Amino acid sequence: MQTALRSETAGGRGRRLWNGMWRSRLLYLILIPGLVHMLVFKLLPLFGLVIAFQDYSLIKGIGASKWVGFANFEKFLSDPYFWKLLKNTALLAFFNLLFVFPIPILFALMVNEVRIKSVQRFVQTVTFFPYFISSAVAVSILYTFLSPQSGLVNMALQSMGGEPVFFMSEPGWFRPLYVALNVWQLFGYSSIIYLAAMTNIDPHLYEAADMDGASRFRKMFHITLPSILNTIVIMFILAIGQIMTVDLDKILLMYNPSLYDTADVIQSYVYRQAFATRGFPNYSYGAAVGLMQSIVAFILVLSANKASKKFSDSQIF
Amino acid sequence: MVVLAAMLILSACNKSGSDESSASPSASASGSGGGSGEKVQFSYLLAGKYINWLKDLKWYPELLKNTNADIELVNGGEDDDQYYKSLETKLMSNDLPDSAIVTLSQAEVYGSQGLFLNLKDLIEKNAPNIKKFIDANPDYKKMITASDGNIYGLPQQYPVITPVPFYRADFFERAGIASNPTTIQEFTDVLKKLKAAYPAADFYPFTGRDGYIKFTESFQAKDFIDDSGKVHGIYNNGLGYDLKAPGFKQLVEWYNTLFTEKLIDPEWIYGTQTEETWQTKMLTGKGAISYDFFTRPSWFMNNGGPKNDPKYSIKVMDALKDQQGNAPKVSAYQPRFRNDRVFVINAASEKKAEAIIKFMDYVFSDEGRTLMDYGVEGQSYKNEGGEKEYLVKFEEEGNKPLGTPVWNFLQDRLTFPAPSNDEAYYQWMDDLTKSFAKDFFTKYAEVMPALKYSTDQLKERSGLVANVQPMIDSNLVKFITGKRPISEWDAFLKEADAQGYSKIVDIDQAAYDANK
Repeated sequence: MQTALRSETAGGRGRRLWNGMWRSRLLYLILIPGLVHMLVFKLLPLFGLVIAFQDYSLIKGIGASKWVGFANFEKFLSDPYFWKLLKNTALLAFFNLLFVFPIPILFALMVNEVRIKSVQRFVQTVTFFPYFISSAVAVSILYTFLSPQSGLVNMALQSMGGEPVFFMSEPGWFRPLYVALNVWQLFGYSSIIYLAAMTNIDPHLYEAADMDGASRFRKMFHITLPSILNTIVIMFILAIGQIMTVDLDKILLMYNPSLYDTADVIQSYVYRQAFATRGFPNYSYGAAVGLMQSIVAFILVLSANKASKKFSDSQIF
Repeated sequence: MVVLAAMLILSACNKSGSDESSASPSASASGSGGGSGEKVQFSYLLAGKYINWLKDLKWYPELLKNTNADIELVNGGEDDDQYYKSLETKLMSNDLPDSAIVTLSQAEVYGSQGLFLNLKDLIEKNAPNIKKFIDANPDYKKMITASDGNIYGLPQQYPVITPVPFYRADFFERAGIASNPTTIQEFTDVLKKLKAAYPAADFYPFTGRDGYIKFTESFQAKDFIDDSGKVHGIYNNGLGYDLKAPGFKQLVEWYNTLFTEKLIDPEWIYGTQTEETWQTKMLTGKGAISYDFFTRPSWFMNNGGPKNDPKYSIKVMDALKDQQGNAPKVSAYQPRFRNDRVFVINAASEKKAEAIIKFMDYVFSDEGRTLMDYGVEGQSYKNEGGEKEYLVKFEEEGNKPLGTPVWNFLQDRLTFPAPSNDEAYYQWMDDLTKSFAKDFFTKYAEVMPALKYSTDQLKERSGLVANVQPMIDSNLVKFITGKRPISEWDAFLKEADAQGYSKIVDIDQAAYDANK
């Protein structure tokens, strides 16, 4: 009897779901291309990650390649170079997060205060441009500016009696330059999300603050900032997920033998292992290192999400 | 990583697809050098820059005509780097062209697994000229014969050429340098005199591009295989260095002196120098001496040197004597037979194989060699008392823009892997290059053997090199620029060993021993 009731309930729920879907069938139809894209390009390829547990050979394919268990993972973890790579990756990612994340928020807060709309739009457009410049061009610009013999910066230094600085070959300069380049390229683009969130703030709050005699800064920090806090938290959790991801293109374009001490990161190492060899690239090893990196990023996102749930109301899932 | 995974899945899907290439129209063979019969049609995978080069050559249409061939040149990536990086995935895809350029290890490993055809019987039956060359060159035979006794690929024979040290003769004159240096000490003195004569802050007498470690032969610090068969250093056909050679430490100390006294271009040491910046410096008088490819002196003379400065003059100096005062051996750019330019035939194109090998046989024949090395009689060369003489000049033909049909015979570039004719190659050069090339190479060139690695050796080696090389590179820069004291040299060698330096040398030794 109970079973019959349960199945009837389940059947009723199924019918209701189907009816609901049928009513919104056009919306679901629109969803299909996105789902197919996700399935084909995001989910299906994940099965390819099994090569991390194989001695993968392109000619034998996934089916016939030899299984090696965790050998590739053990090899990486016992590699004397591992700790250096981890340190370089973590530091670069940390500094990147430290500067690339908050600057767009500060910039959005300032742009939001500009009262002349045309000026506001002009500033937004100009700061948005660098996002469309490719890494190759951006790094070339950096090289040109910082060239020890013909660069603007060094010419200025020399005209003040200083010695030229080899910015692009000093290990100590690599992280600041990498982060600065990222800030320059991304701050205009990233600030759009916060500016959009600011447009949703109830104007009555500002009017009430005006009546209470609140200054601009008070309004900024007591109305604008708390109102976009949820957006900031969500963006932060997403940024945490990217913490182990560095911009490989930029690094490969920027690095040279004198920078290996600070510029060699897990991704550039994987690239050397998996792609830069002449014949028999070690895809399995590359996949194992990449998978480990993804797992670390996943754990970080879960932790950030949990922390966010505990300390504020915002969370992604 | 997702992209990598997607690539693998797609590659796996491709493999399960139908075999299209075997269904492509078959071509019956035409005789070597024959122009009759059905057209020989096949596709050929190589780097794009060689396709552009080949298409401009005036002898190429003649070659196709003589062999009645129609070859589809397939671009596998613009330059060598791009080509080899994506080669593995191309080899595994279902649309691998009928023939391709691969590395020798790929030819053997994938050949034995059935991806490429065994050419042994094909050559025996259809290619008398290839057979003759193999029989006449035991080293070549040993190199191309796989461990299973089969032949999966035909490598290119490379002309004997080395880098040469060259200098601004007009700068030497102005600095009062009457004779060329013959030893490292004299060379250092020359650099000092140049710096004194040209004190500008941005003038560094010794400059260059790519690897800055030069004169290893004079410091007896090259990687090499000694008479007893012992491998010294990470083997790079003599173009690298032996980190543990006493001379190498001295070389690093010498570089440190050059750096401290501003005699060497710091951008070159730091690795930020590009080909363009080096060229600009050599053309605009911000550098006076380089050690580079042997056609570079004439390149500078023909690309703006005398145009900017009428006194501009580049000359080549002798290699510097070693520490015992002997003439050094400068390593040739490549082993005699290149293990990275190997012609293979796709196993799925078996029906065309006979025709393709006959085409290659023509390339190996006297007629084919004459066509590719000298062109057409009466048009690009003449016969003078049995000697061939070019009617066209490299100075006129060699500098024409891309897309212009030219007579050109630079055998160091890849077309179809073939035997080389060094005499013709040197003769084809411009007057300046001709004036020193043959003499320099005869006096100093040393061709080192190529090592053949097993798949496992290659995998382990490339993994270790990926670890060790950056560590060595960055430390050498530190020693040279004085950021690490030379007193820590022994500690550095231990660090290099801990990262796997000795293991790489052991692998090289094992590879050499296995193919002795």
